Amino acid sequence: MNLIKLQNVSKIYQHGKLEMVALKDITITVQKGQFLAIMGPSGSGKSTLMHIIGLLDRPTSGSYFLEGKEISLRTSDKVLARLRQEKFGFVFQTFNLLPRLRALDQVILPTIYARAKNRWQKAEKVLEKVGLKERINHCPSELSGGEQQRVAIARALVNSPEIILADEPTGNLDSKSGEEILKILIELNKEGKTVILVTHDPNLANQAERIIKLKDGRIV
Amino acid sequence: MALYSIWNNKARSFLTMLGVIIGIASVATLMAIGEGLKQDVSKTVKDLGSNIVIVLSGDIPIGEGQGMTSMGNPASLISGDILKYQDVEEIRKIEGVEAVSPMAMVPGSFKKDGKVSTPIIAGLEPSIRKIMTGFKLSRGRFIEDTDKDKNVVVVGDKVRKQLFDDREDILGEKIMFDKTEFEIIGQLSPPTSSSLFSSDFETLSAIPFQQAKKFTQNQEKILRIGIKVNDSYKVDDIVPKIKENMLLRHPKEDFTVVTQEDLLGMLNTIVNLLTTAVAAIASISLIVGGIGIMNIMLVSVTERTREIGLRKAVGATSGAILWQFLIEAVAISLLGGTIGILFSFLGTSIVAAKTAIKPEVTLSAILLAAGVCIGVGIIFGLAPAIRAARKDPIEALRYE
Repeated sequence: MNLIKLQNVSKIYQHGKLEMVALKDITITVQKGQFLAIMGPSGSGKSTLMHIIGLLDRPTSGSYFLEGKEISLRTSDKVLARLRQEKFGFVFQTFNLLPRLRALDQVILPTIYARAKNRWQKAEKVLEKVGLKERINHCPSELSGGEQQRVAIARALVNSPEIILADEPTGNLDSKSGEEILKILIELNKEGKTVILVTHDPNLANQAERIIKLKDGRIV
Repeated sequence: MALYSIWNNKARSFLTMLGVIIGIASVATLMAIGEGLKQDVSKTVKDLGSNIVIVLSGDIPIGEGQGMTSMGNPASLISGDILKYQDVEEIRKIEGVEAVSPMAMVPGSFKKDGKVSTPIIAGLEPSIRKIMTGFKLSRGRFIEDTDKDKNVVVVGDKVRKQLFDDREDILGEKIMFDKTEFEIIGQLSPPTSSSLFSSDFETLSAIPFQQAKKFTQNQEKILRIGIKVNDSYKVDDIVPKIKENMLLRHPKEDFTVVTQEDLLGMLNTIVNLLTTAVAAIASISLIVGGIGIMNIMLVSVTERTREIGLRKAVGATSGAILWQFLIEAVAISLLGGTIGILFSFLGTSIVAAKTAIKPEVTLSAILLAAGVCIGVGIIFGLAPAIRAARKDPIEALRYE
């Protein structure tokens, strides 16, 4: 079964009378365990696509199936939140850590919303996995960019999601840290996670087993 | 989590709370003072003794629903020409009346060796001791029937202090009133517990009623008549009889018969009215405090737009975000209220130390304050919380 299936998905933003087409008739399927790269120049709609896949945004038209079940406009906010908890882990270009929380608390955050048990142990385990066991009590300001992004990855992993959505995860990092992050993503994919990487960097995209190129909201 | 955010912005949170702190502190302190006043009033009225009826000059409407405006002619309240000694004698004849005494006020002061003391000089009869049981003598004796024509005086503690410095025993001393010499035959005990009203006993000096008449151009100047009803009778049964009796000589009803309960009720009504009015004014600062909370919460929501987006991305529902911000607002308000209550304890202890009032922060006042704080937090926190919950995660994450 397809893990994710998008059918003729379009996203149109309305700015008054001006219509801006972000995505046009996108049809893709993603299999479980795939390492997919979505590539394209800025403004090509790749982030919008990722947000729709990650249930942060809803398409204007078209249909979306997650594990065979359709996600429609009628799907409630509660159900979407629950699916985001269970199925997706997000990694952002700007890390999006909360400024004053220590690493451990950053990672615990999603487990609170998921009402998970053994939050501490889970958070410690994933932090250890990304190599930050020694730095769990540090705040973001005391961590390097690469370390911050690793905290963000740990946070994405803590609820054991099936899909990791990474939006330009190396965009704000030097090449060495970027490579480390990429290595972690590849490692996760080998462990069975589905990884969807959004990037404009061909070198990065080439690490993926499959590349979807976007331009002006269409697959090319 | 809400507390975390408050702790991380200590200075800002404190300033936000300030309105609530001031509001709760002042309302709680004022309520405590009101409570203290009420207890003071009831203690003073009880000091009168039990089964007491007082006839006042002037027609004062007593009871519920009557405003302060319908008091009639205020001058009649202090006029000494309405009640007559004949009234005293007639009331004495009523069955069930155990003791009656006129209470006349004599304006003037006592002098001794160039020192002056101006107490409240009351012309009383010996029976007053059965009526106002608050009188306690520390030395000597009270006015007796045989003193009728003698220039004797029972002085309060203030006179002793003002005329005799710190001498304890002043019995037998002579003091001058106008051009007449009075002998001190008794000394009133200073009030054991300080009360706003008990100072009356301290500033009071008693002379025989018949003597008092001499200094008021032979007019009786009876301001009140104190009556003690025998304990085997019910006050409520005797009051109509007194009234009836009085009406025989005062067809215009230019007097008022009050019982202890009436007096207590009247004074409590006044205290309650004052307390409520002042507390209501003070509670305006609570509204200001609430607006402060709303303001800072709106700023906080805007500032933390990215945080909201992220929380939604990791699985927070809109409801969870709403609760987070609402609880934060309530927590700020409640914390402010707690600090406010602490300040009110400080305030009341200052009042207690500086004045005779013994303010009391009651449990119900604390619970009321807590309720008001939660209310303020919810009312003024709701709009910011709804705004936070409605944020689109995408917009929120893009927000710089």
